Amino acid sequence: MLSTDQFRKKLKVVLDGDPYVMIDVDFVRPGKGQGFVRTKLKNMISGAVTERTFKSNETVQPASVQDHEMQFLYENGGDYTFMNNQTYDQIELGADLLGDTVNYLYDGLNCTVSFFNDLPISCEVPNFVELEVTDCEPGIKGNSATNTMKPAVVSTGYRLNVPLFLNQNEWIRIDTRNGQYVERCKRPEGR
Amino acid sequence: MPGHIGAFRGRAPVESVRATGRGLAAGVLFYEDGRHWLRDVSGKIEAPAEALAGLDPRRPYWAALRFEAGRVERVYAEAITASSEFTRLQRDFERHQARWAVHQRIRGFFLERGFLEADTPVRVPCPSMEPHLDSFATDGLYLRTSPELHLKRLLAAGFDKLFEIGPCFRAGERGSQHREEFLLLEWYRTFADLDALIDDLRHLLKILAPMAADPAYLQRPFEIVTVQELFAHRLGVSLTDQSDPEPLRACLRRHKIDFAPEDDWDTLYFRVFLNLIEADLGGARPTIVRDYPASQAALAKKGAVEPGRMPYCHRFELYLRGVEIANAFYELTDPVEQRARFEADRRLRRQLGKTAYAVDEGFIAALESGLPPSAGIALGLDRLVAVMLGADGLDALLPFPAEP
Repeated sequence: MLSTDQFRKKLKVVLDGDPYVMIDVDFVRPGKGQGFVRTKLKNMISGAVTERTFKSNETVQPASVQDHEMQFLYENGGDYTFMNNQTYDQIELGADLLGDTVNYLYDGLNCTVSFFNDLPISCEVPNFVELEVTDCEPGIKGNSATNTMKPAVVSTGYRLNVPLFLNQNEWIRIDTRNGQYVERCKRPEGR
Repeated sequence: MPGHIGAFRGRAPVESVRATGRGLAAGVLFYEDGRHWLRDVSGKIEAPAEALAGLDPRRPYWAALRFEAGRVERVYAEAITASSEFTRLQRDFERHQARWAVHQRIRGFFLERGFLEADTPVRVPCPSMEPHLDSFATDGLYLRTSPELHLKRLLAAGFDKLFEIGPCFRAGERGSQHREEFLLLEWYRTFADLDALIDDLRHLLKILAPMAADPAYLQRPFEIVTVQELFAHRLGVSLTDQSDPEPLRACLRRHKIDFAPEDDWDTLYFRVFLNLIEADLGGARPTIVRDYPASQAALAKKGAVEPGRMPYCHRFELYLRGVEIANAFYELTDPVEQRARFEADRRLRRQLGKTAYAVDEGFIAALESGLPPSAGIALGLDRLVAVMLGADGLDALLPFPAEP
Protein backbone atom coordinates (compact mmCIF):
# COMPACT_ATOMS: atom_id res chain seq x y z
CA MET A 1 0.00 0.00 0.00
CA LEU A 2 1.09 3.58 -0.64
CA SER A 3 0.70 6.27 2.00
CA THR A 4 -0.06 9.90 1.10
CA ASP A 5 3.52 10.97 1.92
CA GLN A 6 4.66 8.74 -0.96
CA PHE A 7 2.33 10.42 -3.43
CA ARG A 8 4.21 11.91 -6.37
CA LYS A 9 3.42 13.00 -9.87
CA LYS A 10 3.34 10.02 -12.28
CA LEU A 11 2.57 7.54 -9.46
CA LYS A 12 0.10 4.88 -10.63
CA VAL A 13 -2.61 3.80 -8.21
CA VAL A 14 -5.83 1.78 -8.23
CA LEU A 15 -9.07 3.55 -7.27
CA ASP A 16 -12.47 1.89 -7.55
CA GLY A 17 -10.84 -0.87 -9.58
CA ASP A 18 -9.41 1.43 -12.26
CA PRO A 19 -5.77 2.39 -12.75
CA TYR A 20 -5.01 6.11 -12.35
CA VAL A 21 -1.86 8.13 -12.80
CA MET A 22 -1.27 11.16 -10.56
CA ILE A 23 -0.82 14.34 -12.55
CA ASP A 24 -0.85 16.78 -9.64
CA VAL A 25 -0.18 16.35 -5.91
CA ASP A 26 -0.37 19.08 -3.26
CA PHE A 27 -0.29 18.92 0.53
CA VAL A 28 -2.79 21.18 2.31
CA ARG A 29 -3.46 21.68 5.99
CA PRO A 30 -6.30 24.08 6.65
CA GLY A 31 -5.82 26.11 9.83
CA LYS A 32 -6.22 24.02 12.99
CA GLY A 33 -7.22 20.96 10.98
CA GLN A 34 -5.54 17.78 9.90
CA GLY A 35 -3.49 17.48 6.76
CA PHE A 36 -4.92 16.44 3.43
CA VAL A 37 -3.35 15.69 0.09
CA ARG A 38 -5.12 17.08 -2.93
CA THR A 39 -4.58 15.13 -6.12
CA LYS A 40 -5.48 15.38 -9.73
CA LEU A 41 -5.73 11.91 -11.25
CA LYS A 42 -6.05 10.66 -14.80
CA ASN A 43 -7.92 7.47 -15.43
CA MET A 44 -5.51 5.42 -17.53
CA ILE A 45 -8.34 3.67 -19.37
CA SER A 46 -10.81 6.47 -20.12
CA GLY A 47 -8.35 9.36 -19.96
CA ALA A 48 -10.80 11.29 -17.76
CA VAL A 49 -9.23 13.58 -15.16
CA THR A 50 -10.70 13.75 -11.66
CA GLU A 51 -9.73 15.46 -8.42
CA ARG A 52 -9.59 13.64 -5.15
CA THR A 53 -8.63 14.69 -1.63
CA PHE A 54 -7.01 12.17 0.70
CA LYS A 55 -6.53 12.44 4.44
CA SER A 56 -2.84 12.47 5.42
CA ASN A 57 -1.66 8.88 6.00
CA GLU A 58 -4.56 7.40 4.07
CA THR A 59 -3.32 4.55 1.88
CA VAL A 60 -4.09 3.43 -1.64
CA GLN A 61 -3.07 0.43 -3.67
CA PRO A 62 -0.32 0.85 -6.22
CA ALA A 63 -1.39 -0.05 -9.74
CA SER A 64 0.83 -2.60 -11.34
CA VAL A 65 0.92 -1.37 -14.88
CA GLN A 66 3.29 -3.12 -17.26
CA ASP A 67 4.69 -1.32 -20.23
CA HIS A 68 5.71 -3.35 -23.29
CA GLU A 69 7.49 -2.14 -26.36
CA MET A 70 5.42 -3.21 -29.34
CA GLN A 71 5.69 -2.67 -33.05
CA PHE A 72 2.73 -1.61 -35.14
CA LEU A 73 2.19 -4.05 -38.02
CA TYR A 74 -1.04 -3.33 -39.90
CA GLU A 75 -4.63 -2.15 -39.69
CA ASN A 76 -7.58 -4.23 -40.81
CA GLY A 77 -11.16 -2.99 -40.60
CA GLY A 78 -10.52 -0.71 -37.61
CA ASP A 79 -8.41 -3.27 -35.73
CA TYR A 80 -4.76 -2.39 -35.30
CA THR A 81 -2.30 -5.25 -34.93
CA PHE A 82 0.82 -4.84 -32.79
CA MET A 83 3.65 -7.27 -32.07
CA ASN A 84 5.53 -7.57 -28.79
CA ASN A 85 9.20 -7.01 -29.65
CA GLN A 86 10.38 -9.48 -27.01
CA THR A 87 7.90 -12.35 -27.25
CA TYR A 88 6.62 -11.76 -30.81
CA ASP A 89 3.08 -12.15 -29.41
CA GLN A 90 0.56 -10.22 -31.45
CA ILE A 91 -2.46 -8.28 -30.15
CA GLU A 92 -5.19 -6.24 -31.77
CA LEU A 93 -6.11 -2.82 -30.37
CA GLY A 94 -9.29 -0.96 -31.32
CA ALA A 95 -9.47 2.61 -32.59
CA ASP A 96 -11.27 3.60 -29.34
CA LEU A 97 -8.28 2.75 -27.21
CA LEU A 98 -5.80 4.27 -29.65
CA GLY A 99 -7.56 7.62 -30.06
CA ASP A 100 -5.40 10.18 -31.88
CA THR A 101 -2.40 7.87 -32.03
CA VAL A 102 -3.90 6.20 -35.14
CA ASN A 103 -2.83 9.37 -36.98
CA TYR A 104 0.82 8.40 -36.56
CA LEU A 105 0.89 4.60 -36.90
CA TYR A 106 3.04 3.29 -39.71
CA ASP A 107 4.32 -0.20 -40.33
CA GLY A 108 7.25 -0.83 -38.00
CA LEU A 109 6.64 2.07 -35.54
CA ASN A 110 7.68 1.14 -32.00
CA CYS A 111 5.03 2.07 -29.41
CA THR A 112 4.67 1.57 -25.67
CA VAL A 113 1.55 -0.40 -24.84
CA SER A 114 0.52 -0.42 -21.15
CA PHE A 115 -1.24 -3.39 -19.59
CA PHE A 116 -3.27 -3.37 -16.37
CA ASN A 117 -4.26 -6.83 -15.12
CA ASP A 118 -3.01 -8.21 -18.46
CA LEU A 119 -5.43 -6.04 -20.42
CA PRO A 120 -4.08 -3.36 -22.76
CA ILE A 121 -5.19 0.08 -21.54
CA SER A 122 -3.16 2.59 -23.50
CA CYS A 123 -0.71 3.01 -26.35
CA GLU A 124 1.94 5.72 -26.45
CA VAL A 125 3.73 6.71 -29.63
CA PRO A 126 7.08 8.57 -29.66
CA ASN A 127 6.84 12.36 -29.23
CA PHE A 128 7.99 12.83 -32.82
CA VAL A 129 7.28 10.73 -35.91
CA GLU A 130 8.41 11.17 -39.52
CA LEU A 131 5.77 10.72 -42.22
CA GLU A 132 5.59 11.24 -45.97
CA VAL A 133 3.36 13.95 -47.44
CA THR A 134 1.08 12.10 -49.87
CA ASP A 135 -1.07 15.01 -50.95
CA CYS A 136 -0.76 18.79 -50.97
CA GLU A 137 -0.69 21.71 -53.41
CA PRO A 138 2.67 22.13 -55.17
CA GLY A 139 5.24 23.96 -53.11
CA ILE A 140 5.97 27.65 -53.64
CA LYS A 141 9.69 27.86 -54.28
CA GLY A 142 11.66 30.25 -52.18
CA ASN A 143 8.86 30.76 -49.68
CA SER A 144 10.59 29.80 -46.49
CA ALA A 145 7.98 31.39 -44.23
CA THR A 146 6.71 28.95 -41.64
CA ASN A 147 3.78 31.04 -40.47
CA THR A 148 1.67 30.72 -43.62
CA MET A 149 0.31 27.21 -43.92
CA LYS A 150 -1.62 25.02 -46.36
CA PRO A 151 -3.47 21.75 -45.83
CA ALA A 152 -1.72 18.42 -46.48
CA VAL A 153 -2.30 14.70 -46.06
CA VAL A 154 0.38 12.27 -44.85
CA SER A 155 0.75 8.56 -45.55
CA THR A 156 -1.41 7.54 -42.57
CA GLY A 157 -4.32 9.61 -43.92
CA TYR A 158 -3.82 12.25 -41.21
CA ARG A 159 -4.59 15.82 -42.30
CA LEU A 160 -2.59 18.75 -40.98
CA ASN A 161 -1.26 22.15 -42.02
CA VAL A 162 2.24 22.50 -43.43
CA PRO A 163 4.31 25.48 -44.69
CA LEU A 164 3.85 26.60 -48.30
CA PHE A 165 7.26 25.41 -49.52
CA LEU A 166 6.51 21.70 -49.01
CA ASN A 167 5.85 19.33 -51.89
CA GLN A 168 4.16 15.97 -52.27
CA ASN A 169 6.46 12.99 -51.41
CA GLU A 170 8.58 15.09 -49.10
CA TRP A 171 8.97 13.92 -45.50
CA ILE A 172 8.06 15.88 -42.41
CA ARG A 173 8.44 15.50 -38.63
CA ILE A 174 5.23 15.78 -36.56
CA ASP A 175 4.88 16.40 -32.81
CA THR A 176 2.44 13.69 -31.70
CA ARG A 177 1.58 15.56 -28.48
CA ASN A 178 -0.20 18.31 -30.37
CA GLY A 179 -0.43 16.88 -33.89
CA GLN A 180 1.48 19.81 -35.41
CA TYR A 181 4.10 20.05 -38.12
CA VAL A 182 7.62 20.52 -36.72
CA GLU A 183 10.05 20.54 -39.65
CA ARG A 184 10.92 19.07 -43.03
CA CYS A 185 13.21 16.03 -42.80
CA LYS A 186 14.97 13.43 -44.92
CA ARG A 187 13.30 10.13 -45.69
CA PRO A 188 14.33 7.94 -42.75
CA GLU A 189 16.54 4.98 -43.62
CA GLY A 190 14.67 1.81 -44.42
CA ARG A 191 11.32 3.45 -45.07
CA MET B 1 44.60 45.67 -12.48
CA PRO B 2 44.28 46.22 -8.74
CA GLY B 3 43.40 43.11 -6.78
CA HIS B 4 43.38 44.37 -3.20
CA ILE B 5 40.61 45.95 -1.27
CA GLY B 6 42.24 49.36 -0.91
CA ALA B 7 41.78 49.93 -4.63
CA PHE B 8 38.04 50.13 -4.11
CA ARG B 9 38.10 52.77 -1.40
CA GLY B 10 35.48 55.34 -2.22
CA ARG B 11 33.17 52.75 -3.78
CA ALA B 12 29.66 54.19 -3.91
CA PRO B 13 26.29 52.48 -4.22
CA VAL B 14 25.42 51.91 -7.87
CA GLU B 15 22.21 53.89 -7.41
CA SER B 16 24.05 57.02 -6.28
CA VAL B 17 26.55 56.70 -9.17
CA ARG B 18 23.59 56.41 -11.53
CA ALA B 19 21.94 59.49 -10.00
CA THR B 20 25.05 61.70 -10.01
CA GLY B 21 26.79 60.25 -13.08
CA ARG B 22 30.07 59.93 -11.20
CA GLY B 23 31.86 57.70 -8.75
CA LEU B 24 33.22 54.18 -8.39
CA ALA B 25 30.53 51.52 -8.73
CA ALA B 26 31.11 47.80 -8.22
CA GLY B 27 28.98 44.69 -8.46
CA VAL B 28 27.88 42.12 -10.99
CA LEU B 29 28.24 43.05 -14.66
CA PHE B 30 25.68 41.18 -16.75
CA TYR B 31 23.86 41.17 -20.06
CA GLU B 32 20.09 41.55 -20.24
CA ASP B 33 17.61 42.80 -22.85
CA GLY B 34 20.35 43.69 -25.30
CA ARG B 35 22.37 45.82 -22.88
CA HIS B 36 25.07 45.44 -20.26
CA TRP B 37 24.39 46.42 -16.66
CA LEU B 38 26.30 46.76 -13.43
CA ARG B 39 24.22 45.91 -10.39
CA ASP B 40 24.51 45.91 -6.63
CA VAL B 41 21.74 45.84 -4.02
CA SER B 42 21.06 49.57 -4.47
CA GLY B 43 20.18 49.33 -8.16
CA LYS B 44 21.65 48.96 -11.63
CA ILE B 45 23.40 51.21 -14.12
CA GLU B 46 24.01 50.65 -17.79
CA ALA B 47 27.63 49.78 -18.63
CA PRO B 48 28.70 51.51 -21.88
CA ALA B 49 30.59 49.64 -24.61
CA GLU B 50 33.88 51.44 -23.76
CA ALA B 51 33.89 49.67 -20.40
CA LEU B 52 33.47 46.23 -21.96
CA ALA B 53 36.51 46.07 -24.26
CA GLY B 54 38.15 42.66 -24.13
CA LEU B 55 35.37 41.05 -22.10
CA ASP B 56 33.28 38.11 -23.25
CA PRO B 57 29.88 39.78 -23.81
CA ARG B 58 27.92 36.68 -22.83
CA ARG B 59 29.57 36.10 -19.45
CA PRO B 60 28.83 37.78 -16.13
CA TYR B 61 31.73 39.47 -14.32
CA TRP B 62 32.54 40.85 -10.93
CA ALA B 63 33.39 44.35 -12.02
CA ALA B 64 34.25 47.85 -10.77
CA LEU B 65 33.68 50.84 -13.05
CA ARG B 66 34.65 54.43 -12.45
CA PHE B 67 32.18 56.91 -13.96
CA GLU B 68 33.64 60.36 -14.45
CA ALA B 69 32.82 63.38 -16.60
CA GLY B 70 31.08 61.41 -19.31
CA ARG B 71 33.64 58.61 -19.54
CA VAL B 72 33.84 55.22 -17.88
CA GLU B 73 37.01 53.45 -16.83
CA ARG B 74 37.07 49.78 -15.96
CA VAL B 75 38.97 49.35 -12.70
CA TYR B 76 38.39 45.64 -12.18
CA ALA B 77 36.81 42.65 -13.93
CA GLU B 78 36.87 39.01 -12.97
CA ALA B 79 34.77 36.48 -14.92
CA ILE B 80 32.11 34.65 -12.92
CA THR B 81 31.71 30.93 -13.42
CA ALA B 82 27.93 31.12 -13.27
CA SER B 83 26.52 28.23 -11.25
CA SER B 84 22.86 27.33 -11.65
CA GLU B 85 22.25 29.01 -8.28
CA PHE B 86 23.99 32.22 -9.38
CA THR B 87 21.93 32.26 -12.55
CA ARG B 88 18.67 31.62 -10.69
CA LEU B 89 19.26 34.23 -7.98
CA GLN B 90 20.46 36.84 -10.48
CA ARG B 91 17.42 36.19 -12.67
CA ASP B 92 15.06 36.78 -9.71
CA PHE B 93 17.24 39.46 -8.06
CA GLU B 94 14.64 42.19 -8.07
CA ARG B 95 11.90 39.91 -6.79
CA HIS B 96 14.02 38.84 -3.83
CA GLN B 97 14.80 42.49 -3.12
CA ALA B 98 11.09 43.27 -3.27
CA ARG B 99 10.39 40.45 -0.82
CA TRP B 100 12.91 41.70 1.71
CA ALA B 101 11.62 45.22 1.27
CA VAL B 102 8.15 43.99 2.24
CA HIS B 103 9.61 42.46 5.42
CA GLN B 104 11.19 45.82 6.29
CA ARG B 105 7.98 47.71 5.60
CA ILE B 106 6.06 45.36 7.89
CA ARG B 107 8.62 45.87 10.66
CA GLY B 108 8.29 49.62 10.18
CA PHE B 109 4.50 49.38 10.30
CA PHE B 110 4.49 47.75 13.73
CA LEU B 111 7.26 49.91 15.16
CA GLU B 112 5.46 53.06 14.01
CA ARG B 113 2.37 51.87 15.85
CA GLY B 114 4.15 51.36 19.13
CA PHE B 115 4.60 47.59 19.04
CA LEU B 116 7.72 46.13 20.59
CA GLU B 117 9.67 43.69 18.42
CA ALA B 118 10.37 40.60 20.51
CA ASP B 119 12.35 37.44 19.96
CA THR B 120 11.56 34.18 21.68
CA PRO B 121 13.25 30.74 21.81
CA VAL B 122 13.23 28.62 18.68
CA ARG B 123 14.00 25.36 20.55
CA VAL B 124 11.29 24.79 23.13
CA PRO B 125 9.99 22.02 25.38
CA CYS B 126 6.45 22.30 24.01
CA PRO B 127 6.42 23.08 20.30
CA SER B 128 2.67 23.00 19.84
CA MET B 129 -0.56 21.94 21.41
CA GLU B 130 -2.45 21.33 18.22
CA PRO B 131 -3.20 17.67 17.58
CA HIS B 132 -2.25 17.87 13.91
CA LEU B 133 0.94 19.93 14.14
CA ASP B 134 4.20 18.00 14.29
CA SER B 135 7.62 19.34 15.13
CA PHE B 136 11.24 18.27 14.81
CA ALA B 137 12.99 16.83 17.87
CA THR B 138 16.38 18.40 18.57
CA ASP B 139 18.21 16.74 21.43
CA GLY B 140 15.52 16.93 24.12
CA LEU B 141 13.82 20.07 22.83
CA TYR B 142 11.68 20.72 19.78
CA LEU B 143 11.71 23.34 17.07
CA ARG B 144 8.78 25.69 17.61
CA THR B 145 5.78 25.47 15.31
CA SER B 146 4.94 29.07 16.31
CA PRO B 147 6.20 31.61 18.87
CA GLU B 148 2.71 31.81 20.38
CA LEU B 149 3.24 30.41 23.86
CA HIS B 150 6.36 32.46 24.66
CA LEU B 151 4.86 35.67 23.24
CA LYS B 152 1.86 35.21 25.52
CA ARG B 153 4.24 34.65 28.45
CA LEU B 154 5.74 38.06 27.63
CA LEU B 155 2.25 39.51 27.30
CA ALA B 156 1.38 38.18 30.76
CA ALA B 157 4.50 39.88 32.12
CA GLY B 158 3.27 43.28 30.96
CA PHE B 159 4.81 43.59 27.48
CA ASP B 160 1.39 44.41 26.15
CA LYS B 161 1.92 45.14 22.44
CA LEU B 162 4.29 42.75 20.77
CA PHE B 163 5.30 41.34 17.45
CA GLU B 164 7.83 38.79 16.26
CA ILE B 165 9.00 37.72 12.81
CA GLY B 166 10.88 34.46 12.74
CA PRO B 167 11.29 30.97 11.35
CA CYS B 168 8.90 28.26 12.48
CA PHE B 169 8.88 24.56 11.69
CA ARG B 170 6.20 22.03 10.87
CA ALA B 171 7.29 18.49 10.10
CA GLY B 172 5.78 16.77 7.10
CA GLU B 173 4.21 19.90 5.60
CA ARG B 174 5.41 20.19 2.02
CA GLY B 175 3.23 21.61 -0.70
CA SER B 176 2.78 24.58 -2.98
CA GLN B 177 1.72 26.68 0.05
CA HIS B 178 3.57 24.73 2.75
CA ARG B 179 7.18 24.39 3.75
CA GLU B 180 8.59 22.59 6.75
CA GLU B 181 10.49 25.82 7.59
CA PHE B 182 8.72 29.12 7.00
CA LEU B 183 8.49 32.67 8.33
CA LEU B 184 5.71 33.50 10.71
CA LEU B 185 4.71 37.02 11.75
CA GLU B 186 2.77 37.14 15.00
CA TRP B 187 1.41 40.15 16.84
CA TYR B 188 -0.51 40.55 20.06
CA ARG B 189 -2.53 43.27 21.75
CA THR B 190 -3.86 43.31 25.30
CA PHE B 191 -7.22 44.93 26.08
CA ALA B 192 -8.19 44.29 22.48
CA ASP B 193 -10.47 41.96 20.55
CA LEU B 194 -10.61 40.50 17.04
CA ASP B 195 -11.93 43.74 15.55
CA ALA B 196 -8.72 45.49 16.60
CA LEU B 197 -6.73 42.85 14.70
CA ILE B 198 -8.95 43.20 11.62
CA ASP B 199 -8.20 46.95 11.76
CA ASP B 200 -4.48 46.19 11.98
CA LEU B 201 -4.78 43.96 8.91
CA ARG B 202 -6.67 46.64 6.99
CA HIS B 203 -3.98 49.22 7.68
CA LEU B 204 -1.17 46.77 7.04
CA LEU B 205 -2.50 45.73 3.63
CA LYS B 206 -3.09 49.37 2.75
CA ILE B 207 0.50 50.39 3.40
CA LEU B 208 1.80 47.28 1.60
CA ALA B 209 -0.43 47.85 -1.44
CA PRO B 210 2.03 50.07 -3.36
CA MET B 211 4.58 47.23 -3.22
CA ALA B 212 2.12 44.66 -4.64
CA ALA B 213 1.63 43.53 -8.23
CA ASP B 214 -2.07 44.44 -7.90
CA PRO B 215 -2.26 47.40 -5.48
CA ALA B 216 -6.02 47.92 -5.91
CA TYR B 217 -6.83 44.44 -4.63
CA LEU B 218 -5.19 44.92 -1.23
CA GLN B 219 -7.00 48.23 -0.68
CA ARG B 220 -10.51 46.94 -1.34
CA PRO B 221 -12.88 46.82 1.64
CA PHE B 222 -12.71 43.43 3.36
CA GLU B 223 -15.46 40.91 3.00
CA ILE B 224 -16.29 39.59 6.47
CA VAL B 225 -18.27 36.38 6.72
CA THR B 226 -18.87 33.77 9.42
CA VAL B 227 -18.18 30.09 8.82
CA GLN B 228 -21.84 29.34 9.38
CA GLU B 229 -22.91 31.89 6.73
CA LEU B 230 -20.28 30.64 4.31
CA PHE B 231 -21.59 27.09 4.37
CA ALA B 232 -25.25 28.13 4.43
CA HIS B 233 -25.11 30.76 1.68
CA ARG B 234 -22.72 29.08 -0.73
CA LEU B 235 -23.78 25.49 -0.34
CA GLY B 236 -27.01 25.43 1.63
CA VAL B 237 -25.33 23.37 4.35
CA SER B 238 -26.43 23.90 7.94
CA LEU B 239 -23.67 23.67 10.55
CA THR B 240 -25.85 24.44 13.57
CA ASP B 241 -25.60 20.94 15.02
CA GLN B 242 -22.01 19.72 15.33
CA SER B 243 -23.26 16.30 16.45
CA ASP B 244 -25.00 15.76 13.11
CA PRO B 245 -22.65 15.03 10.19
CA GLU B 246 -25.51 14.32 7.77
CA PRO B 247 -25.78 17.80 6.15
CA LEU B 248 -22.05 17.64 5.34
CA ARG B 249 -22.30 14.08 4.00
CA ALA B 250 -25.29 15.03 1.84
CA CYS B 251 -23.35 17.97 0.41
CA LEU B 252 -20.33 15.77 -0.42
CA ARG B 253 -22.58 13.19 -2.07
CA ARG B 254 -24.31 15.92 -4.07
CA HIS B 255 -20.94 17.11 -5.39
CA LYS B 256 -19.60 13.58 -5.92
CA ILE B 257 -16.75 14.04 -3.46
CA ASP B 258 -15.44 10.93 -1.74
CA PHE B 259 -15.44 10.52 2.01
CA ALA B 260 -14.94 7.64 4.39
CA PRO B 261 -17.70 6.20 6.58
CA GLU B 262 -15.55 6.76 9.68
CA ASP B 263 -14.91 10.46 8.92
CA ASP B 264 -15.95 12.60 11.89
CA TRP B 265 -17.73 15.95 11.69
CA ASP B 266 -14.51 17.96 11.47
CA THR B 267 -13.03 15.76 8.73
CA LEU B 268 -16.22 16.06 6.68
CA TYR B 269 -16.19 19.81 7.31
CA PHE B 270 -12.65 20.07 5.94
CA ARG B 271 -13.51 17.94 2.91
CA VAL B 272 -16.33 20.35 2.03
CA PHE B 273 -14.22 23.40 2.85
CA LEU B 274 -11.17 22.30 0.83
CA ASN B 275 -13.09 21.10 -2.22
CA LEU B 276 -15.97 23.54 -2.49
CA ILE B 277 -15.15 26.74 -0.61
CA GLU B 278 -11.50 27.59 -0.09
CA ALA B 279 -10.43 28.26 -3.70
CA ASP B 280 -12.93 31.13 -4.07
CA LEU B 281 -12.19 32.86 -0.76
CA GLY B 282 -10.69 36.29 -1.22
CA GLY B 283 -10.96 36.12 -5.01
CA ALA B 284 -12.25 39.65 -5.52
CA ARG B 285 -11.15 41.25 -2.23
CA PRO B 286 -9.45 40.34 1.03
CA THR B 287 -11.79 38.11 3.00
CA ILE B 288 -12.10 37.51 6.72
CA VAL B 289 -13.74 34.23 7.72
CA ARG B 290 -14.74 34.32 11.40
CA ASP B 291 -16.48 32.38 14.16
CA TYR B 292 -15.02 28.94 13.55
CA PRO B 293 -16.60 25.76 14.90
CA ALA B 294 -16.00 25.38 18.65
CA SER B 295 -14.20 22.09 17.95
CA GLN B 296 -11.53 24.08 16.07
CA ALA B 297 -10.90 26.64 18.80
CA ALA B 298 -7.28 25.67 19.54
CA LEU B 299 -6.23 28.55 21.84
CA ALA B 300 -9.25 30.79 21.21
CA LYS B 301 -12.00 31.66 23.62
CA LYS B 302 -15.29 29.95 22.86
CA GLY B 303 -18.39 32.01 22.13
CA ALA B 304 -21.57 31.95 24.20
CA VAL B 305 -23.95 29.17 23.18
CA GLU B 306 -26.95 30.60 21.34
CA PRO B 307 -29.98 28.75 19.99
CA GLY B 308 -29.92 28.30 16.19
CA ARG B 309 -26.24 29.18 16.06
CA MET B 310 -23.34 26.82 15.48
CA PRO B 311 -21.22 26.47 18.65
CA TYR B 312 -18.32 28.72 17.73
CA CYS B 313 -15.08 30.25 18.94
CA HIS B 314 -13.62 33.73 18.66
CA ARG B 315 -11.24 33.04 15.83
CA PHE B 316 -10.83 34.42 12.31
CA GLU B 317 -8.72 33.76 9.27
CA LEU B 318 -7.64 36.06 6.46
CA TYR B 319 -7.84 34.76 2.90
CA LEU B 320 -6.24 36.40 -0.12
CA ARG B 321 -6.91 34.93 -3.55
CA GLY B 322 -7.85 31.52 -2.20
CA VAL B 323 -4.81 31.30 0.08
CA GLU B 324 -5.08 31.13 3.87
CA ILE B 325 -2.83 33.92 5.10
CA ALA B 326 -3.44 34.52 8.81
CA ASN B 327 -5.18 33.04 11.82
CA ALA B 328 -6.30 35.11 14.81
CA PHE B 329 -7.61 34.29 18.28
CA TYR B 330 -9.39 36.22 20.94
CA GLU B 331 -7.19 34.50 23.46
CA LEU B 332 -8.26 31.91 25.92
CA THR B 333 -6.99 33.28 29.24
CA ASP B 334 -8.48 30.73 31.63
CA PRO B 335 -5.67 28.48 32.91
CA VAL B 336 -8.02 25.69 33.97
CA GLU B 337 -9.70 25.39 30.59
CA GLN B 338 -6.36 25.80 28.86
CA ARG B 339 -4.88 22.86 30.80
CA ALA B 340 -7.98 20.76 30.06
CA ARG B 341 -7.63 21.50 26.31
CA PHE B 342 -3.93 20.63 26.39
CA GLU B 343 -4.69 17.32 28.11
CA ALA B 344 -7.45 16.54 25.58
CA ASP B 345 -5.05 17.30 22.73
CA ARG B 346 -2.39 15.08 24.32
CA ARG B 347 -4.88 12.21 24.51
CA LEU B 348 -5.84 12.72 20.88
CA ARG B 349 -2.20 12.80 19.81
CA ARG B 350 -1.53 9.52 21.61
CA GLN B 351 -4.55 7.97 19.89
CA LEU B 352 -3.16 9.13 16.55
CA GLY B 353 0.14 7.45 17.42
CA LYS B 354 1.98 10.78 17.70
CA THR B 355 4.33 12.18 20.32
CA ALA B 356 2.30 13.83 23.09
CA TYR B 357 4.37 16.94 23.83
CA ALA B 358 4.72 18.01 27.47
CA VAL B 359 2.40 20.77 28.64
CA ASP B 360 4.22 24.14 28.70
CA GLU B 361 4.05 24.77 32.44
CA GLY B 362 5.60 28.20 32.04
CA PHE B 363 2.69 29.16 29.82
CA ILE B 364 0.07 27.75 32.23
CA ALA B 365 1.81 29.61 35.07
CA ALA B 366 1.62 32.82 33.04
CA LEU B 367 -2.14 32.36 32.60
CA GLU B 368 -2.47 31.59 36.31
CA SER B 369 -0.67 34.81 37.21
CA GLY B 370 -3.09 36.55 34.88
CA LEU B 371 -3.45 37.56 31.25
CA PRO B 372 -5.79 40.47 30.49
CA PRO B 373 -8.27 40.18 27.61
CA SER B 374 -6.00 39.86 24.58
CA ALA B 375 -6.04 39.15 20.88
CA GLY B 376 -3.27 37.67 18.78
CA ILE B 377 -2.64 36.70 15.20
CA ALA B 378 -0.21 34.54 13.24
CA LEU B 379 0.43 35.46 9.62
CA GLY B 380 2.26 33.31 7.08
CA LEU B 381 4.70 35.89 5.80
CA ASP B 382 5.96 33.88 2.82
CA ARG B 383 2.41 33.25 1.63
CA LEU B 384 1.46 36.91 1.99
CA VAL B 385 4.49 38.04 -0.03
CA ALA B 386 3.88 35.36 -2.68
CA VAL B 387 0.31 36.58 -3.16
CA MET B 388 1.47 40.23 -3.15
CA LEU B 389 4.19 39.72 -5.75
CA GLY B 390 2.10 37.37 -7.87
CA ALA B 391 4.41 34.38 -7.32
CA ASP B 392 2.76 31.04 -7.94
CA GLY B 393 3.37 29.29 -4.62
CA LEU B 394 6.32 29.35 -2.24
CA ASP B 395 8.84 27.64 -4.53
CA ALA B 396 8.42 30.45 -7.05
CA LEU B 397 9.02 33.04 -4.31
CA LEU B 398 11.79 31.86 -2.03
CA PRO B 399 15.48 32.21 -2.89
CA PHE B 400 16.33 28.61 -2.06
CA PRO B 401 14.41 25.47 -3.01
CA ALA B 402 13.10 23.20 -0.26
CA GLU B 403 15.74 20.57 0.54
CA PRO B 404 14.54 17.13 -0.53
